[in-house]
Amino acid sequence: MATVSHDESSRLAALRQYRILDTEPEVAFDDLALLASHICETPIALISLVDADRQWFKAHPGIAVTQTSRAVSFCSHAIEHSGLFIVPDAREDERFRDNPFVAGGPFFRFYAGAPLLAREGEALGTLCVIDRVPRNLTQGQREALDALRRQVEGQLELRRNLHELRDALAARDRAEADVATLSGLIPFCSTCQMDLTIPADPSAIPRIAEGVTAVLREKGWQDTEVIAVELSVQEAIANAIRHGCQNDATKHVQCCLMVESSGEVVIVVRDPGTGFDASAVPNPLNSENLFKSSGRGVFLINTLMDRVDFVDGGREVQMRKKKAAAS
Amino acid sequence: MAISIPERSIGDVVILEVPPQVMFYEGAALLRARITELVGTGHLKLLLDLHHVTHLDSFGVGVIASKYVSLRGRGGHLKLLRPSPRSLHVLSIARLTDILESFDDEDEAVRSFQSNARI
Repeated sequence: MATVSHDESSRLAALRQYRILDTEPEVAFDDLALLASHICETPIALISLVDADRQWFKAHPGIAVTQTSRAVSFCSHAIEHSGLFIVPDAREDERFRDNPFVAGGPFFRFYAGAPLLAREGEALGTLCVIDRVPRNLTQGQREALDALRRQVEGQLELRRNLHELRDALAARDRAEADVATLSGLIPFCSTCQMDLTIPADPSAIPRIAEGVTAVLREKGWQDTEVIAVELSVQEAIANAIRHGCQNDATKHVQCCLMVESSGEVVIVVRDPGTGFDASAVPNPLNSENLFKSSGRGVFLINTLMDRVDFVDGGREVQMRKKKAAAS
Repeated sequence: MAISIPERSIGDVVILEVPPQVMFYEGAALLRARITELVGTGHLKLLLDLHHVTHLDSFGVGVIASKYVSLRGRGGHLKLLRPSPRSLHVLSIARLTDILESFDDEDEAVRSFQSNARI
């Protein structure tokens, strides 16, 4: 039975990043395996990926099978070693002499496997060559097998990079769709003095707060009122990021500010989350809640603003405050 | 770059000089963790120096409130040093200014822990 790496979970996680298991054959991998077979003068070569309980072959010239149990895998041993792992004669090696592929058909005797490393350094599998007679590799063949191993790793990285690029483009498309959806949900923003859609990233909070502060100061609001509004905006956006967006920076929060002719400021913060029942938020001033670590954001907003409405199931908070009369 | 909370001791009082970014968004989780460590190692007289903190939000208030009660439960004390008027305003809305002792002078704050000890 092959041994299993102590870092097996991270190795398997790295393997999943390449999304190569159970994919169709590809000429680039087939060619590299074929070259390995020719250069090393073996009837069989494999590009083998070692999964949790099996080894699966991306390329397998010289043998028809596409996967085997990991329990009978030479490659599972090879990935436990750094550098080339060679078994000159499996029948003479106590680790392999009882292996069904050695004791019976297809009667493997010779194995040489070069571990394929992920960019994280984890061994994913091997480029290996197999023969039915005991033998060894020349120095030139070892060097060539190692060079081909680097080429296989390059192909794997190329594949992973393409997947990551596709994912990034898809995430961008989703984010743009989110922005378009959010923008359509607050239709009265043609009168906004500030209308921003920001990524759900806390670092954006001060920027919005500063914008609100600047607008209110320009309108002659007193410091204490400006602070009240600024605090409310910070709390509302923090709630939107934390709860509405689950701290997922690919999501977006919309914030708009209007100053009506009456002097009342209206601020709307909207998130794409599932909403919440504002009436069910416990009162933090109740003795049993006074020292709790959370539950004050909505209370602060309600206290600091003149009127607060949670609409659309809590996904949108509308906050209003009137400018105090000049003293 | 990782944020750290500078701290020093006067006698058995540990003074935590809270950087402003620790009280921003969920940064106060760092303060919560450090206070938990201090309490775990028997430090039960903690003074939070808030003079750098310009913006205290509900998350930060929550950490201060929960750690205050946690320390009191172990016979310890958590007090505030030089909170800004704005921070005090937020604490007062949360009705915590009547409970949390707050000082403008460090010596006075440190001495106050000794008074607690004599009671």
